[in-house]
Amino acid sequence: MDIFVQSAVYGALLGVGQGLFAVALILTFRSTGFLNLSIGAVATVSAYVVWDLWSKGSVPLAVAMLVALIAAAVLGLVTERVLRPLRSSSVVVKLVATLGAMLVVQFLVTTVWGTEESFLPLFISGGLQMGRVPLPWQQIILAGGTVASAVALQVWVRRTTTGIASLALAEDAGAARALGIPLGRVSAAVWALSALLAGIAGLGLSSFGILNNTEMTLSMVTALAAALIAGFENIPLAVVAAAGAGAFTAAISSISSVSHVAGLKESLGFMVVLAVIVLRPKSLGQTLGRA
Amino acid sequence: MATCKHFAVPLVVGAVVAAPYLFGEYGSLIGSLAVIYSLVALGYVVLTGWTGDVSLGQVVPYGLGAYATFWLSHTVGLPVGLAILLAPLLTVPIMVLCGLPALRLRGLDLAIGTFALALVGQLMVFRSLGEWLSGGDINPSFARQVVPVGRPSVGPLALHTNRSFYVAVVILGGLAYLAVELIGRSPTGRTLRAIRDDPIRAQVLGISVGRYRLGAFVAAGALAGLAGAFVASLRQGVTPATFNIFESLNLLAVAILGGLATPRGALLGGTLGAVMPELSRFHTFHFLQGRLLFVYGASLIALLVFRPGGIASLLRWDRQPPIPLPHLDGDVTAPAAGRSGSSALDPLLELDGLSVAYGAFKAVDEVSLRIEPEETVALIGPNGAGKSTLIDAVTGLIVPQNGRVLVDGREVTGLPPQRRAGLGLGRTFQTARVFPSLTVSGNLVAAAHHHVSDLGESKRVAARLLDDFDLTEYAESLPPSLPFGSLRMLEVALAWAPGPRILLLDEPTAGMDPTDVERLAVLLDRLKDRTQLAILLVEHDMGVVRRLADRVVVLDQGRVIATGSPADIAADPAVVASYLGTSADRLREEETVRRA
Repeated sequence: MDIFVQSAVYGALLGVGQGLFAVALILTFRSTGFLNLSIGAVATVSAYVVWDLWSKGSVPLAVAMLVALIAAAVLGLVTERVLRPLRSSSVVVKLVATLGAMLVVQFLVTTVWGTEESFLPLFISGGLQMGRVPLPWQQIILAGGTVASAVALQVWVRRTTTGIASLALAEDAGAARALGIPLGRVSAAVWALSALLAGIAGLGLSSFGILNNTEMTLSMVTALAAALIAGFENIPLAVVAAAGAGAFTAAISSISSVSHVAGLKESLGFMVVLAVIVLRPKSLGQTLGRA
Repeated sequence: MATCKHFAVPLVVGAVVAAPYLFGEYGSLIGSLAVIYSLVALGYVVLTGWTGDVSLGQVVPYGLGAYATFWLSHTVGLPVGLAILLAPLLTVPIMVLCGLPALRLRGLDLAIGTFALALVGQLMVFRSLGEWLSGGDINPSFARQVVPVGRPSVGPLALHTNRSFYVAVVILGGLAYLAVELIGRSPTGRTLRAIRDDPIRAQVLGISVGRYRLGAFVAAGALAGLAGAFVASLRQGVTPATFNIFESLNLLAVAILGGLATPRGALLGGTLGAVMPELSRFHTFHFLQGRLLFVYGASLIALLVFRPGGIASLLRWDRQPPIPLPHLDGDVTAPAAGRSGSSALDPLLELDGLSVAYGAFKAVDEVSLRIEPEETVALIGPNGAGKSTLIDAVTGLIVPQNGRVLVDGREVTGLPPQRRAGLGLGRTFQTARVFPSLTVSGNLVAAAHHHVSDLGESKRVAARLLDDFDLTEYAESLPPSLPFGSLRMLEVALAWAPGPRILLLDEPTAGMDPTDVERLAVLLDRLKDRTQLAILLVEHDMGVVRRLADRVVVLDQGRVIATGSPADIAADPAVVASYLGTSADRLREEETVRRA
């Protein structure tokens, strides 16, 4: 029982970090209608950049991180520019296009860094200890940063003119344009911000798992589940949901009989996604104010 | 162009026949893979191209087909050939089970749901299947968990060589292709496309949207299942690592590359999908080596941005073949749907205390109304009086809080729209809601098809309606290219096609110019005499109301404030105050100004 609770706490902390992905997903979806699943691959790129420059090379950590985050933001900008002609397409076409983008970024990763697994060391060592469960500083800091940025973004979206404008984009691009909102610039800014958040999450999280070409894309699932639970609307709620999803998966996985079924542990998150999406009363299209 | 067409078919057939001879065993292997990918892509044509549902999880039935083949041949002990043929059937119940919850979703939700399904399949189902089927003892290492599948034999002939296997696969794949091609040209294919264009309109026309979508989902699954069965036997084994999310996306990319609108596009995409990885082995195409992920991803984006119809639309394969309509002989009327010979005492349509509320706002407030057979009742009232809401509640698009709707004395309040349409309830929409990707005659055939015995009959109905509504010259045009007046005519003709007994017309003349209004009024007058149906007409134009209506009901703020003959109503002081006081003519003027 003890280990059950401790795993849940550890999972929750990890989940909050993945909540940053959820925040990134909500941003692009609410403002441009793209459910941008390619951010997992973008996160992988930034993790690899730091691994390459700092862990393998001799570049100082701060510089390596800066380069990594710039790379992530640039990838976001480029993707936005390439996919911009699809602005008025259906949300499904947009999703398939971002999956195409995911394949391309994935290719980039495989070409530059290969398919072998590596490990990214912790940036910040040490941490707290809760029973037998370690709570590393790096995770605590990432979690704290996620919560802070979620609250800040929620305020930005609800209270500031640019924030509200960014929501108006997806709901009615024509009307937004008529009101004089610079569509291209707002959409580019949102994508760059979203990719930046994904890059930060990628850096923070990859020290806790294997660094390879697909891992991060698969970890998008907790984010997706959290964003769905939050209805793609309430950003802080998404972070809470991510923590919950993380705690749930970690706690269930700690039950020994679960680990006997091949792949059950890994697919728990996807089952959450399936359950949420089938049981949600409101469709994603309706979230954007479309039929 | 014509000569091009004449050469195309023999050229393709020639290439298919020559491939194994030109390239030997290797060519036969690639040829077989081309057929396998084409089968999955054919499923996508049915599911996505026609029905409009996007699944990111086609790898699930694909993998299930492969494992089912192993199970049937290895564990059950059937001959491999039989196992391959039965495997897709085995995926059917599983696809129905997945489809029942999945098809509550549409659009993006369905895509995400099937994406998650594919990942559950990849991470758990196929791994467990591999473990369970191999008895856990063939090879404990996950990556090498290959279960063997043999090659089939036909009678005494064992298809051990790739070439003989290729021949068998081409024959079976060709049959599947022909079946899909035939479905596409049939009214069923048009119905599927109608559902993609506007599922609600389709429901109101009596089409069981859910059943068709489930059918398309299962058919696409069975095609992918057959492909999986083939691939298991071709590779002579199944490994769970094959069936991952990236393979699923590749299958989709290949289908989109070829084009989702026509079965031919699927063949093209499937062939590309098989040939592209192999091209990189040749010197000229060496640059493709290791870059397929990029090629798929980039071409996916490029096609979505520039050519959503895929390569097939570049080649203009997505044109619809014309529907040969019969010449009209004698007086053919649209069939009467639903139960006939109702008791003469019952009104055809009865509303009993119908109420619809949005929060505290009562859009329709305790409305009771009876429409007798062959009667035309006009429903008038100011904007926002609840007229369209009333029609929505009667046809089942919204659920009333209170009250009952009866057709022939039978309560239909809880029935879905398509069942009500089956009982003879039809309607038009205020803004023309026709199926934009079907030709005008395709629209009418799809609408009539569910209520008549055979294809010939629905074509006769279509021809008659084209003639009645002056649409014959547009028979093969797509609705978006129609002039506004004719588009409105098509909207009304579409409602007529299933042969309703009660027709609810929601402002049929809205936005029309005076000539078209006159044309439609004359037409409605003639048609209602000929087809003897009951009509509830929502209309602002008092001239049209006076001409058509036997009785007028005035609605204001959701309540009936007056009922009577057109002459009585025009003289009713309450009506004049609330509605006619602004003068019907002035309303018309305002409308004309607004359009100009």
